[in-house]
Amino acid sequence: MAFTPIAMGQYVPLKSPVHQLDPRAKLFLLVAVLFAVFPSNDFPSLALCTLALFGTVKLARLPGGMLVRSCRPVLFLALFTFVFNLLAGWGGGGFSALLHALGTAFLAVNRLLLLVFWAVLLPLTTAPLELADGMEALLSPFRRFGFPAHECAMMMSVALRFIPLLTEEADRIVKAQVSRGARLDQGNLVQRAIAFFPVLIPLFVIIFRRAEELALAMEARGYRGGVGRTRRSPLVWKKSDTGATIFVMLAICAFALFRMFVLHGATP
Amino acid sequence: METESVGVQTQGGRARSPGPPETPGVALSGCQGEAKHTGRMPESDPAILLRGVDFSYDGGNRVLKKISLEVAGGERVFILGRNGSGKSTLVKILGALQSPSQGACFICGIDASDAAVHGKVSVVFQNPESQIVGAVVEDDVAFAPENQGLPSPEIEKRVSWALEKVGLLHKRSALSSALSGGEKQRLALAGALAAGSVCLILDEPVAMLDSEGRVEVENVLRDIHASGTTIVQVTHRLEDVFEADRVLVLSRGMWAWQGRGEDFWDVAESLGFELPPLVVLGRRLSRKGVPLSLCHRSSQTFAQNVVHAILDSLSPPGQGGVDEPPRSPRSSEREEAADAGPPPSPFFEVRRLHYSFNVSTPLETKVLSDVSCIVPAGTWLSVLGRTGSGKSTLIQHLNGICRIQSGEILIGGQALPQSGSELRDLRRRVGLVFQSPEVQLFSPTVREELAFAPKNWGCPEEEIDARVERALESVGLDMGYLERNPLLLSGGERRLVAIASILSADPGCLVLDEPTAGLDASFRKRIKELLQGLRRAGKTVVTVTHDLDMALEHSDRLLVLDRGVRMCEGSIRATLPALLEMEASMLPEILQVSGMLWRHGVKAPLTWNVEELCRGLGL
Repeated sequence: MAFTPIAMGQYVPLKSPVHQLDPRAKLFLLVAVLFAVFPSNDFPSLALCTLALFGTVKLARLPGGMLVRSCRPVLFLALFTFVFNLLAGWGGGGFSALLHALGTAFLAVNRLLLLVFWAVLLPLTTAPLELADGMEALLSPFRRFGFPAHECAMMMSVALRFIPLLTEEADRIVKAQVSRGARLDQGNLVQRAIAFFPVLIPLFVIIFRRAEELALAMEARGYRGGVGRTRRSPLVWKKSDTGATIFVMLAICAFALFRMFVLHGATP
Repeated sequence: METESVGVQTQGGRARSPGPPETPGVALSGCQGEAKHTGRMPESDPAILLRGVDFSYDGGNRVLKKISLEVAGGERVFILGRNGSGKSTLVKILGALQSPSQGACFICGIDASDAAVHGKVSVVFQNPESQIVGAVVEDDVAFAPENQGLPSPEIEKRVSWALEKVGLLHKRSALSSALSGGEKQRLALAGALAAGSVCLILDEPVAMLDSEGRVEVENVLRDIHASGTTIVQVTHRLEDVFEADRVLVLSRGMWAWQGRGEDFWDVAESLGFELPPLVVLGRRLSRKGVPLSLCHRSSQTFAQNVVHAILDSLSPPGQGGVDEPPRSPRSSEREEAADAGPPPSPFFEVRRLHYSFNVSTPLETKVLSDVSCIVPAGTWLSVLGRTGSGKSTLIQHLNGICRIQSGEILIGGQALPQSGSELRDLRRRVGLVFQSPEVQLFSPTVREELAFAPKNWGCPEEEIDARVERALESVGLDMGYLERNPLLLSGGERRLVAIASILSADPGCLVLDEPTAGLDASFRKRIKELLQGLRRAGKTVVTVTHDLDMALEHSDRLLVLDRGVRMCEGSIRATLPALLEMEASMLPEILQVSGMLWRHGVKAPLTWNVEELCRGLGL
């Protein structure tokens, strides 16, 4: 069990300023950062965002390799994006067109990876139940409209907790079917999709069974939804959380102003 | 009479508080306040009371028939029964997770339909994976007290207390997914204790664990029981009866027998149970007039007592205690066959195999180092070792699922192919059955499931039916199963179908990872017979197993791995002394006894077989 490769977005229990930040602050700031990264499509902006990412990863004491590893499934998508952008941009033109296309493709991939890495930092540095608490707190204003905030947050956290388990099961089923001669890597798209049924069906059976067992186990431990539930460590908003939030928001504003005035030459 | 003895015992236990620690100054609300004091509930109120419980899922078929049960506080009760006897339903009713169709269930005097019982009774299920809610250990333990709406400081206290009780305090901020099986079950027990429960209902809590995990959990349970908690445990393992205050046998939804643990052995055979070998030995000794009581708190202490009894009975000088080097463990026909004449050509030859996960990263973990072994054609090799010793990785090399990183493997004298059509051909020749293979089934009928592999290997259409039928026959299922849905079969039948789905490709060698894990005695027996049959038919068999009884009784050779390193390899006879170096609790009881006698220099064969040991001791 200790040998299993890290699954995507699996929590890494460490002690760091990023880990200790209130999950509400982290959720809020993540959304703000994603809004800042999304429109960036030039070298200086993306370079700044990348620097900020490195800074945050360093602050979170995460080994860089672990971050990359936990995003491995996305790396293929990134490669695909790169090749696609390169070919589409180049269009068989001359050397300068190729150079230009190379630049565009690089920026596109850089932005995609930045979005993914930033997003994955959240589950990597926040325990699922804590994340659920944060989400529940942020969603609770919508409760008055009948939105099941607690249930949604609990579902999220249970799903996160099951990711490593299902990764392991999926890996074993793939190996088992390959051992029975299943060819998962040949033929056209339709053939491949059909070839995947022997993996998908058992996986769904497992998920349903697990869900049923877990529901029973939760009931056995007295879970009756969010009503009347207390917390072992209720979320406490600290001064440092206010400080960190203000700091990051100011940085994002500065970044936006920098983009608006320096890069795009807007005059006040 | 019975209640009296129980009462004495519980009082001793209650010197320590069975519930979570008292926390003066913390106001408790409602039922939790009561839960803390239930440890001192009046003796007259039984911990569990079932009265005439009937249950049926569909209104017609009665799963439980007029079941009554009274368990006193602090009692430890075991419920034995086969698959389909209604045990799981009974567990749900006892755990207040299901209301009986008729009759009543009271926990500590509270009706089970009242939500307040969840602070008094907790259930721990078989599968450690699917009862953990929190990704971090302490979050998970806190789940039940959080549901009860306790104040945070009280929850924190209960979490620390419960984790300490199961010996996991040092792992409180670890990821629950990184725990071993035994640790996960201990975590589940901590979750139940933190709920403040005074009754634990356990549904085969060690069935899915390796022997190490089993011993861990059993020790924790003993400790929990000693501090006054009532435990009702459903089990397959007859050895558990040693720990019981009382045993009940459930059959077709009714009690077939109930009585004290030590009385159970007299009726076990008439109830259709096979006596554990250690009990057989104990009874032969008693019959010979060696004083020996069957009343013991664990099979371990019983084994020690048996050894002492034998040593004492041999004590007159000249009888035993000879210091000549012990020799001649069991020699059976199959071993003589293996030793006589030129050795058969090896099917597999593994040479200096190394393997690591996450190569060239900071997380690099060595799994196998310098492992070598030989599997002669037509023999059965058992690979033994603890969880994490690299057994599964080793056998996944044999059909090329794991690529060789360093070292070499020869199959029939040729290098094991690593790519291309030769690799596919290898996978046809070497069938690999994964752990709990029943989860890989996906077809609507057994026929299609069994046809999957031969179709993939390009077997001609007209041959497939014959192969499917042959495979089904070889696992001992009749042709009626062909059109049934594999997902609707029982767990044991599903495993047989999964094995048949590999056999239908007609591999020359079958490699199985834990083929008997999680099965009851009757299916374990069927799997053993199946593998023996394959070996007789000239196939090579490799099994990874924790089932030492099966390995010793049926296989030809052993390979023991410890943390990726080969501890010993060879015929059973040659490896037996090395096996004794393993932790005693992991060995079959008879081998423990015979090993201890051997060490004392008693002239008795070193064996795992009770008949042979008895013969050697003249019983």
